[in-house]
Amino acid sequence: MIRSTRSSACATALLGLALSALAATQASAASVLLISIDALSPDYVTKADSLGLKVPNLRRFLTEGSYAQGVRGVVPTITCPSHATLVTGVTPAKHGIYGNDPLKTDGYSAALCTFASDVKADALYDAAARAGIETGSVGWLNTAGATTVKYNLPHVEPYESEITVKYQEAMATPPGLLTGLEAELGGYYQDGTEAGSEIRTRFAKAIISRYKPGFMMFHIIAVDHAAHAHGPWSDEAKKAVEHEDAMIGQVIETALANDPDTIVAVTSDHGQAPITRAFNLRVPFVEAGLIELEPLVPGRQVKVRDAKVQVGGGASAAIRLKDPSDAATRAKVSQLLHALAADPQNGIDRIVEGADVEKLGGYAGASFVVGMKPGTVVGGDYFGSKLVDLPSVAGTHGYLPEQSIMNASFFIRGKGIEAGRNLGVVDMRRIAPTLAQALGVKLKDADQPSLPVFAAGR
Amino acid sequence: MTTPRALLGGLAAPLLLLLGGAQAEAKSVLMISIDGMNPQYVTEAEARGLKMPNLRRFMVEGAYASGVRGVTPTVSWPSAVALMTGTPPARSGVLNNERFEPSDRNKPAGVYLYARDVKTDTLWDAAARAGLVTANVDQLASVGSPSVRYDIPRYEPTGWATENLKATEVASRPANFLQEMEARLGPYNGVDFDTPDYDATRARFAVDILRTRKPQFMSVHLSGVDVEAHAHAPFSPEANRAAEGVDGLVGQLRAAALAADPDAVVVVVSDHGQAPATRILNLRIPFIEAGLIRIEPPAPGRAARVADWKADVWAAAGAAIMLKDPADAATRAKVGEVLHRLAADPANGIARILEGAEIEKLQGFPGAAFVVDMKSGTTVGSALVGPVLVERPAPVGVHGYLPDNLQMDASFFIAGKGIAAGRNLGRVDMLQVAPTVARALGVKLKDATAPVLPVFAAEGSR
Repeated sequence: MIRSTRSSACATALLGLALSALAATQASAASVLLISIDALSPDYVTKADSLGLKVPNLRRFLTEGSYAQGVRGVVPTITCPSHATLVTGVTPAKHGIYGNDPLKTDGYSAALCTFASDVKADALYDAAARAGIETGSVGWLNTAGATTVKYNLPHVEPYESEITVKYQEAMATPPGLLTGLEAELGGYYQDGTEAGSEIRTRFAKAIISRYKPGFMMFHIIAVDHAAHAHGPWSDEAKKAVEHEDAMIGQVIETALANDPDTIVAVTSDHGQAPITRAFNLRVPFVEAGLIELEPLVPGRQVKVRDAKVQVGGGASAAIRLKDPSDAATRAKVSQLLHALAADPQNGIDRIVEGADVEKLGGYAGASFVVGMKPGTVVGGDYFGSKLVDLPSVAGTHGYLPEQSIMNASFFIRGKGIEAGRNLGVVDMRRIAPTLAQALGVKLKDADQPSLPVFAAGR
Repeated sequence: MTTPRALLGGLAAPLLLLLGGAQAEAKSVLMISIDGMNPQYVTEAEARGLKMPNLRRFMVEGAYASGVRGVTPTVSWPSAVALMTGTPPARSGVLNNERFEPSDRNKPAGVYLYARDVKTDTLWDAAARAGLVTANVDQLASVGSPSVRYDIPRYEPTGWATENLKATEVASRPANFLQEMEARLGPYNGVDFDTPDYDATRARFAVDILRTRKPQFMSVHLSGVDVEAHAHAPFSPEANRAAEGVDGLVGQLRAAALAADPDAVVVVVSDHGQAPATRILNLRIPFIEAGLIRIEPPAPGRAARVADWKADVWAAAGAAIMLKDPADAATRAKVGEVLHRLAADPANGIARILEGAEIEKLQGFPGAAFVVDMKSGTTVGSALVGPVLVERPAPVGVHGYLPDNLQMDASFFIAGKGIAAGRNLGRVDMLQVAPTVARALGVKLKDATAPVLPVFAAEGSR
């Protein structure tokens, strides 16, 4: 809430003149289309043939453009922090999007990754607006209320019912954009399925062809949805990848019809790993007296009476002390975690603590981070079995980025982009400055070099 | 000094007189809605030891109702919409605070937050059609309305005040309106009920809008009386203090409206009253026992979940009983049997069971198989486990009973140019409020059918 939209509006007004002059000198500036296929592991594309996948639109990038073998993500390797990194070029500790749902440790809030004002770092759309470039966006996270995104259908969760569409209508800018488009294109109600991607595609195409934004962002989630439910590389996930390939083909075609020189980048936020087990880390904390529960009542949700420690869940877990200066509790937690990590059954890969937590660039303020081995996730139960086998294989992400199975994707092609260049494994923070260079704009906070994707002379 | 505005006004006035003819008694109206305020906070202020100077002035200078009979159910969203449209819930489509959703979803149902949820013509719509400048601070169900030019809507799509503020900022109109105001006036905490001055903030922002935008129709909604009465019972010291605080805000708002237009009409309404309550009747428990709701076997520490249902409870203070299959005569008979058995025990606090044509007459809870009307003091709860009857540790305030319960009566006060002074209208129907405001504005509501209240001086003298 500190970096308010009004200050960026002011900045736009003040800098507009100076920057438009600047932008004019950068003759290389191109239209940019940024696509994110949620949870697309690069292997779906780079190993498409051996996986038996038909992804012609994505495969074209390998020969006609440049691409990363893999993109090493940020902490945590989950959707909202990663998307904020994709557009700002900085870690979650710097852009402020620490988790998908930082407000709620149990369950689900409706505040998931909606608001632009939560992003504390300069984003590509801010830089584009300063340079006088109009931005359009469909389904991108943490963009609602961004004055620098001119045509915006922001990602709004949860997809619980058609009521969500009304929320989406209220969050769309300019006011009335979504209701107007719905009148022509049909309802915008969507869930995480392929049908949802089709709807987002239809609306994105309309925005691109109608408003011709110089910078367009587009995010679709059917691969993530299918991989969560059935595991990555499952038949369902593969089918979703092929489906999304067709969707992005349509969006790219529409963008190229506006501007044949458009630079197109396809990214993802993270990969996914198959999981079969949950390790309920809170159970030993309750047993150790670090979390105290109200007596259990049948039919009533368990209530925490007092907790010296807050234990997160997911593929890695942040452990936060109620009083970070409580040395005794810290020591007790450290001892407990290391004892748990010593039993390979528990699936703990490593315990990050002290100054090492800060180096992760995420989970700001946590006293410990528990990195799990792919295959096991930290469950949320406070009582019952410590280890629970899942009823069937599922997929997840959120493991520490050193687990290469979490690697995200980066493919880029278009005018001035080197053809057939494999960039190897790259740091996710380098994507935003690369796209800034493609747009001919400057990001204020990005602190990594852009990727060498530009052909000589550019 | 002749300002361009005065010049314009001078030119436009004769035209308006010609066009407006007899109907336009006033050109601008400020409508303040005080959530949960029984009229007695004002009409019996002296006897109750309450200092309500600003609202008391309306009784002398303007016209007022001794009570306003509300709509079914007497809860905020349907009532606010009735005030803004002159139509009952069965027509406006805003049927309760939360929608009825099949309970086996085990998810909270949505509130009717959106202008699109309202199926009938609102005062904002009518004013906008007439070319009037409209504005709103927090009156319910405005989100996304193209008819409100300056809107700080009541918007709570999430369970967190911080997130709701962000949503309100984005949903404010025109784009970035609220953020621009916050830059001048400080943070808007009008949706953060944990702060002591959410109403004062709403009033401050509304005064600023009145001053800078000169809206011809402005609605403002204040919540403090309802919040304190819920927590401590109506007419509790806390609720009384809230009423006195709101009275001060009404004074500020009225002054700002009159500064913007000395001929402004100011209307103060409430959506419903409140009654004290000490007990909860958990109607779903006997439904579970009768096999009408099937829950998953309750496990310790796990929230109970509905597995399947034939009949379910849609609670206000009383409740509508919804059938999964309205044509299922056997279930209907069984529900009737359960309800009448419960009603026979006075401890359960059931006033009466309505069905069929009686429900239709309510013009609320359409589609309900039964409506359970409760006696003041007991409300219907939705718990899936635990005892049927629960005593509250301390009295609270509630509303949602059927509108023939006088404790549910809402308020209506009006003053300004052309309004009769010192006129007590007696007990009026809530559906008369919107057409009366429309008349004061000189605009026409499409769907309201109730007669205009006789508040206008000229008509009174006829």
